[in-house]
Amino acid sequence: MHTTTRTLSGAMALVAVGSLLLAGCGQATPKASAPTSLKGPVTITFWNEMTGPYQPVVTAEINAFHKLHPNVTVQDVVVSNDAALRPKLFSAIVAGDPPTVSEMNPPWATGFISSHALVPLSTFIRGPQGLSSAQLHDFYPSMLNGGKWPDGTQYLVPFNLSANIMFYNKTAFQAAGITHFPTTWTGFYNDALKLSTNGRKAFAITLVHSYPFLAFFYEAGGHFVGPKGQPNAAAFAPNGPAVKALTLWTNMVDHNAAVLTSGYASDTLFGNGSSLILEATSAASPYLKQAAAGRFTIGTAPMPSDLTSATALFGGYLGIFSKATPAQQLAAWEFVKFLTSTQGTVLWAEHSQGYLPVRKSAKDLMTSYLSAHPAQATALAALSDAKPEDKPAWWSQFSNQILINAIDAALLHKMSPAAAMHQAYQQVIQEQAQTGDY
Amino acid sequence: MTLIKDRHTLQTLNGVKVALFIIPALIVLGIFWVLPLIMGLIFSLFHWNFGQNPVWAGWHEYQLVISSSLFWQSLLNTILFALGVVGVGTALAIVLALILYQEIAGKGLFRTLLFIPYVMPLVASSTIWLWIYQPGVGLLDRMLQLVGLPGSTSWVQNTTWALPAIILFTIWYSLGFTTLLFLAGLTTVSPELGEAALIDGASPWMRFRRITWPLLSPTTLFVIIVNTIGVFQSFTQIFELTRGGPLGATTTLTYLVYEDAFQYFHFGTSLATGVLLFIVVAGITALQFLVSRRAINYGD
Repeated sequence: MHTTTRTLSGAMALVAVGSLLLAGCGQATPKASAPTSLKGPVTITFWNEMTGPYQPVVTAEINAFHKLHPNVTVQDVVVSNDAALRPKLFSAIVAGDPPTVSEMNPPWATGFISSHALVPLSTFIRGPQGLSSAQLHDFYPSMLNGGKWPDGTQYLVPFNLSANIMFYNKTAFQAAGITHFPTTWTGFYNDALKLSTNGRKAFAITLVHSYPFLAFFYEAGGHFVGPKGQPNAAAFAPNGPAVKALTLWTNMVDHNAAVLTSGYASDTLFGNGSSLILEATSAASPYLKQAAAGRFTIGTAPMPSDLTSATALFGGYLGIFSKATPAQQLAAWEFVKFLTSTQGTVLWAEHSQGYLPVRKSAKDLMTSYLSAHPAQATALAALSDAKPEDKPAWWSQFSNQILINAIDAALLHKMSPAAAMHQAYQQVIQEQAQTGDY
Repeated sequence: MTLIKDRHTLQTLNGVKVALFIIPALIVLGIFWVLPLIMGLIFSLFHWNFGQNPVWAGWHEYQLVISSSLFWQSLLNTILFALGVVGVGTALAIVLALILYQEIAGKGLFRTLLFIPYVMPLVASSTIWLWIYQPGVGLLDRMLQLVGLPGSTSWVQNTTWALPAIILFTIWYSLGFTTLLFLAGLTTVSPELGEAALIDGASPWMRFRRITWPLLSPTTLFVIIVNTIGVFQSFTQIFELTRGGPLGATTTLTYLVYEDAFQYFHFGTSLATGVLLFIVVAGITALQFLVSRRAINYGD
């Protein structure tokens, strides 16, 4: 019986916290009457997934904050990655013991908001310790909008984000007589074909995440989410943007101009020169430099455009949990303000060597840094065209499973791009019926 | 009369002692196993997504699961995964154990090398294998190219090879441990039996078939049970190598339970899948014990 018990216990443990959720569901919506100043000593917990080289930067941020607010103690809790942080947050909310403030992706927050686990930051933004109009407008709009819900409430503020750009092997491009990275899909397709010789396939496509596809989809003028949070039928249409973007990729695979990879292995392929073009966020920059190890020059360029110029914006936002005491919430808000201040975001962007500052004013202070870090400069320049991650309740399953399966089905020749997207639409409608919108 | 009374008191005291030893374990078992089990069964009858209150749904979540092609695909994947890892892995381990049981030079080194994968962090070894499986430039393709075979296969990116690739990794990972179990099992086989058979003119195969193999059957049963448990609990290598893809080709029932619950927050269907997994595993376990009663030689 050990087999039985051990196997099921994992699934059943899920339910142990389930009953607690019932209690959690009854949490009151947080009150707006938070204290207006910090008096006594307050301890707050900050959960994030900033491991490895990022951890010292977070520590430096916390130390700088402690100097400004000696009566606040920030306890840093680092989780290995977002796949671990998400269930950890969920379990903590269900158990009624969430952190004071945490990094999170917007689609997760939709579930947290519906269970009243998150504080609407609009309350703090408009409060006495809030942000002035000038400060608010100093945030990059595409980043700030990612933390705003359709009812206009700002639940999250941007922290560690980066935008998709193209990394390319400049040395190989020059050897093939290509002087500039292509700016259109047609140019991109033709150059990739030209570069794909001797068994080498120029463009590395990773099948695990959907975000590289999303950037192409946005360039084709697509929006998967309709105005009321429902799946947008036009996006999936046979002559629609999803089919168009998927057809481009399928043609590249069929003509040996693209190689299919998994996860971060695409970085390795790019680093060892097996592929020459990699779509990734600027956060990948230090790793790619390390992988290339000086064997070739890495170039960066904005995404090649189709109907429009666009890119996808991804990363972590900051949210404050309603279980915290009013004093903790206020301390957390001060901490959030610091992390996203010009000073805080410059520190983060420069020392993380890949993420972007969240404020426009930071760019002026980073001039010399950006000239030495072209990936971040390229991504910053593309921010005006960047689209933040969508966040209706059905988005997680759609982007991680339904859309990935549609892409896989077309690229692996199980279905045509049109049939794959038609099926994806049928599935996402079912998913929406089950989970709702916001 | 006093003697009987004393004996009764002694028995009572012993009973209290036994209870004191057992109760802590029972409390832990109750909280962390029995209670979740019961709650899991109950909540599998509710439609429940994160952020929503659970709503009584009867068998609806089960109907949703059973009508999902991904569930059946995951069940098939789980069975194929188990057959591959347990079947091939066990056979390989027996062969290796028989070789390493001989007096050969450097067998200590071989045993150590064989066991290294098992003590490596699974996340790290999975990542290494992701590189090994890279199309064209990975170690596997390079080796195939060396022997003149086409070496540009997307091992974990296509629906044909992804599951075998996961099976191969899992066998590599668990082979050292399984071999070690068989090596331990071989020490219980009396060498006199083999020597007697040798005098009677039995061939090496006959000695294995008629003596070693039957006497290894308790170890084999243990290995099969332990490896089956391992297969049904497998998660890390699937998460690292394929995330259940492509097109669900490597999604096992355990991975489906995780994905449904912690990626998509569909607790109702996740729990229903968990209960169905329970039934499948209970059936397999019962079958294993049934077979063990009839076919296992305990040397009695």
